[in-house]
Amino acid sequence: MELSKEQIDQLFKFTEKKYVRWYDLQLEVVDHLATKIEEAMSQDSKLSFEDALRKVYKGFGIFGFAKIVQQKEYSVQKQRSKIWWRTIKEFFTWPKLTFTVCLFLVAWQLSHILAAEYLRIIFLVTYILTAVWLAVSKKRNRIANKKLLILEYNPENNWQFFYLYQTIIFTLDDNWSPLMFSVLTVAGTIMHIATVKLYRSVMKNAEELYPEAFTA
Amino acid sequence: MYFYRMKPDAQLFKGSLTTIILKLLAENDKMYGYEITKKVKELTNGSLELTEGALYPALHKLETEGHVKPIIETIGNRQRKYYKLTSNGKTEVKKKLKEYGNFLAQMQLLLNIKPSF
Repeated sequence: MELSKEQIDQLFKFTEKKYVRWYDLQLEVVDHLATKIEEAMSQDSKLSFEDALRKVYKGFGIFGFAKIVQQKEYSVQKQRSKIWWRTIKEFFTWPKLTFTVCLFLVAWQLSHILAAEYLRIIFLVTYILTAVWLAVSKKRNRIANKKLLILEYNPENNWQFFYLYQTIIFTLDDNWSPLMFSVLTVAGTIMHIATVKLYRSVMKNAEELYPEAFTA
Repeated sequence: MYFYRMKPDAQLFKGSLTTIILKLLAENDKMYGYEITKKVKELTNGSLELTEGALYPALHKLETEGHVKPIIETIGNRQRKYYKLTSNGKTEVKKKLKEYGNFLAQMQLLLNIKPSF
């Protein structure tokens, strides 16, 4: 037997009620529940949908879906971190290493030409633009009419980027050596690029896997 | 915390779940979560029943590590998430099976027993 569309919708609401907020995870859990319910109801024709659901949910143990949700959130975060660090590493290997070296040289020259206050303004503007872009990107998860865990981006998880920028903005003065300024400029820029690339990568992946989450 | 509903001897399977999943995916083009559970139960004549709390975290971890990739398909009134081995995953299966083979050989030496199958 096959569950109806209405029963599937009930299962989605059930998972939402049991704290599975993310559509990408709900999809998997609902299919699992539905398959087991269909089996149970096929074996016992007197079993109602609600009773079958209760029975199947019991099989998830006393914590219900909590462990699955927690582990999935951890896995997604770990995957993001992996992508981010892989991008950083690319800038220290050929051919992107050339970009890193050029950027270092440009920063070196700037630190000799411009006073610290002007360099601080450049960093402050870049920082504000990045923070706004990330906040807007977070809102873009709402373009998907369903919430996707793989799109839920927490900028604070790139704490290295933000702390670095804040350090530069609040402490940069004319006592800084050109070397320190150049190294931190390169670090900040590469982290910025990694953050943008990460977001674009997860967005593309989400649109490919869950196109129905992006239709009105 | 128990990850498996099982008879006590199935505790020995703990730690082998990743290898089991990888091997099943190597032998089947793609599988979904519950299908893996059923296959494991079938192959062990009902001795080993994977719980959802053990299976899905293991699958999600394999996905994070790049050994499997998800494929979403429409089945009737719902979507289903299948898992398929990536090329990294195919290499990982060979590696894991070799490690497991070595492990079994070592255990045989230590315990001086022969498997009954």
